[in-house]
Amino acid sequence: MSAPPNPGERRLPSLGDAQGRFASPCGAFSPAAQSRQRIRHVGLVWLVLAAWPFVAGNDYVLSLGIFFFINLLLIAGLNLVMGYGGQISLCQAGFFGLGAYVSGSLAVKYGVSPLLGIVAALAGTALAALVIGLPALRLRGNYLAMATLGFNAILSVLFNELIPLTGGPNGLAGIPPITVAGYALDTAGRFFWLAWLAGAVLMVLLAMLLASRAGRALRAVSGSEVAAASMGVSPFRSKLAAFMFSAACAGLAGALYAHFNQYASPETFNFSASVLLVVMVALGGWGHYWGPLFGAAVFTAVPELLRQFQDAEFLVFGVSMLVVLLFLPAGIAGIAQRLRERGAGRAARRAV
Amino acid sequence: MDQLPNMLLSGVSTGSIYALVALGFNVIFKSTGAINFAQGEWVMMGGMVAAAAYAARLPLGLAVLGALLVVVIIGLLSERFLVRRLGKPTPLTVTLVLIAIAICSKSAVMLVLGKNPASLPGFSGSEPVLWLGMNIAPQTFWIVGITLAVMLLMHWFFEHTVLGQAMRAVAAQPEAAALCGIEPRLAMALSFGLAAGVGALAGAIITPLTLTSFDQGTVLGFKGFSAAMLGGLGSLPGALVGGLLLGTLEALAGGLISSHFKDAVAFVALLLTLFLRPSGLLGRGEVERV
Amino acid sequence: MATLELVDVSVTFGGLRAVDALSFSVADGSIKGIIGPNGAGKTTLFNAISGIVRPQAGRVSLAGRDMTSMPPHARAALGLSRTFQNLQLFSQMSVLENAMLGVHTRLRSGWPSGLFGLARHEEQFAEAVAYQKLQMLGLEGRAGELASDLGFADAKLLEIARALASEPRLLLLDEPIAGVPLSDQDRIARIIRDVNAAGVTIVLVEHNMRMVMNLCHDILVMNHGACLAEGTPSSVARNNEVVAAYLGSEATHA
Repeated sequence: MSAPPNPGERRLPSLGDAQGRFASPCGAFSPAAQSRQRIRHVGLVWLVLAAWPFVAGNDYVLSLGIFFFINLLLIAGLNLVMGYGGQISLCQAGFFGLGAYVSGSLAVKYGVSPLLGIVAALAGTALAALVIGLPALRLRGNYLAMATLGFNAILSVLFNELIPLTGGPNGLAGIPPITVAGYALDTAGRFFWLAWLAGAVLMVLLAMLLASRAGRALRAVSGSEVAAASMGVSPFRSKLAAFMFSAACAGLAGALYAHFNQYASPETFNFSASVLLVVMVALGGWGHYWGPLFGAAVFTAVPELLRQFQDAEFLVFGVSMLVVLLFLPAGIAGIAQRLRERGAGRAARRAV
Repeated sequence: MDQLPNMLLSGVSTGSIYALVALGFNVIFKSTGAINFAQGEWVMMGGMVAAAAYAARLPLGLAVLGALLVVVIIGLLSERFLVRRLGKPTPLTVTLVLIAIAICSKSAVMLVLGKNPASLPGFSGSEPVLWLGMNIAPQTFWIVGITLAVMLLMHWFFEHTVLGQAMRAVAAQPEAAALCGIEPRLAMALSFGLAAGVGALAGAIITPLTLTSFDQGTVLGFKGFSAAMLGGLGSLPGALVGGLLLGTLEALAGGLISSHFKDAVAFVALLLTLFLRPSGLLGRGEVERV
Repeated sequence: MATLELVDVSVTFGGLRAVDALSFSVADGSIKGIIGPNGAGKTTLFNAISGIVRPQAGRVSLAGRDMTSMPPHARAALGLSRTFQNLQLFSQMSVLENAMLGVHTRLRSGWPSGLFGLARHEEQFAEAVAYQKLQMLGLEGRAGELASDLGFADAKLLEIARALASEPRLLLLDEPIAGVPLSDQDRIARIIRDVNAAGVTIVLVEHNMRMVMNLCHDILVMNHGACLAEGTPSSVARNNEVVAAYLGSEATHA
């Protein structure tokens, strides 16, 4: 490589460089190749998941599939900030509610089109995350956890008290469904494909992000903040961006939820739900690409299975989280990976 | 405005509880760098277990002491079998374990002791006492008195006893302390026991005034944390200052603005502290900006 | 113009003066060694230069540019890079990705480009640079492994590869061969010389006197946070105070 440039003049790659001179010899170890492989796998998995409407016996079971993808949006967003960014956010359910109420309220009270409402939900949650994140993330340490806990509590108060906008404790009813070119997505059968698509898009975006400069920077910050900073990464900006993105994921999930369920009530979005989402990230395997898929599956399926023992639900989740933290830090995704490696007989471990 | 003295008194009373909870946060933060999400649940358990014991015909004093003992043991066990077993005890993973412990505690109490609120009688009866022209529940004196006593005790312990100074040494420089023969694990176990004990005490002494139930812990824990941040996370006198200040602000906001905004005070206080003065009122600026 | 210049830099922790009104400069394209007994303040000095620690007094400049109030990531953008004595690798990332992170300041893409996969040739560039640095340090065979799986010696090599990937103007090496087997020590010394020959100014903290005397053009001896002696290797080796500080005052009369 040539002599170092002057400070402020970092040499940028030019197109001429890219052709031939920088052909990567890294092969399968290349993050870009890994990202492409992940996207192919997402394609396969989503193909399988597309079978759900055909195996689901009735609309209720079909809607479980929809909630799976909505939960995936929530948990995958949280996994980015928690698993890859190393910060705990206890407000994911709050942002979920914010997205639902922004989009739902705009539609019900002001007749705004749900598609615009979704954009508003994304903007609103990202903005809220900016406001909380700015003071909380500038400091070393885990202040974001408590700040988000408080914010979720405040949001719950707002959802309950701003009755003209949110309908208060009785909830917001009559939220219109999403219509695309006159075609209303007002049944589970129709909405499923939107949710399915949203999940796929997010997984693809995440795969690309993790193999990019920004994604590497985020992972580096959680690996060693001091070293990342010394290599030119601003830890504050990385964490803030991740936090805003994860809030936006929750906002999208909320808007989708509101226009599918056509009803939203404050108790869905309280602090306990935020805690549960954190548990799901841990159970699925935090910092693992496929972790959120397992987390969303558990989050959607277990309450159905535990319907009889609803009171014990929290205890079950709390104990499982302890088990994961102490004995299986890689969560379900880690177990799956170990099984796969044993099957393939590979000696070298790969970063997931 | 004539309600002002009553508001202030109520603020001091709640503030004392916040101070005790904040103390628990400070002790654990100093020794692990983590935020103890279980602190609020330990407070709740202090009240709930004491109420259950009293309902089971134990004399009041024994019920309270028994509750203290139970929660302290739970705190010690949490440290010994859970936190200590972490492969990589970073503040992040310790915080996650504490969150898990909080979840388990809360649901265990709900399953075992039920969802109904529980109460305890005042420690010296419930006849209001006339003092400075106000009718005051006698429990208030207990609360303020016990809080002051605990604060003084903690100050004496950390400043003037070998064990307390050893704990401070471990918190500041674990490797150096270990080289001097101080066992870091013992210090961590002690800090958990201390935080649990102080929390349970807070729960037991507030129950006669406000009742308690299985879900009181979370909000109380959050407010205690806000008080700790306000006073300076890790600072002992900060816990007292932060707690009293927060309690007073809450009482004033509740009385002068609206009771709905009472809960918002703690959050606004936390946000302002983070924005303007992260090391808190009495903290020493150790919190680094990145 | 000196690449690095420190003027009257002091760093205090509580009551301890870790760096005491230290001034020195590093000539462009040279290798400067910093030696001194344990506790002399060498790592604190490094931390002050790289921005992890803010000095209470004094000025730190890189190529004439005052960096004193800049955070570490801004200093890296100016061309500063470093390794760490106690290893600060990104343990959950692969060896290759660790090295690729070193290229961070030479790339431009942010979150939008990252999310939508728009910076393909930037990524190819980063991979190629990182791989070349791994080859330079003999780690290319382990490119796909998790950084936490590396042994201590290889981990040190990876830190150097990562630091080199940014093509720095000034490279700070904090005890690069401490704990490294002899065969690798010579290789690292050669790499340092090669990197310096390509124009990189290097500041080196080391306890291995052979390496310091052979490699460095100029040496700063620290003791109790202050400058004890400064000069060429031979002049420093003959300095009585230096010998006394290291070996005790009896040694000067030996």
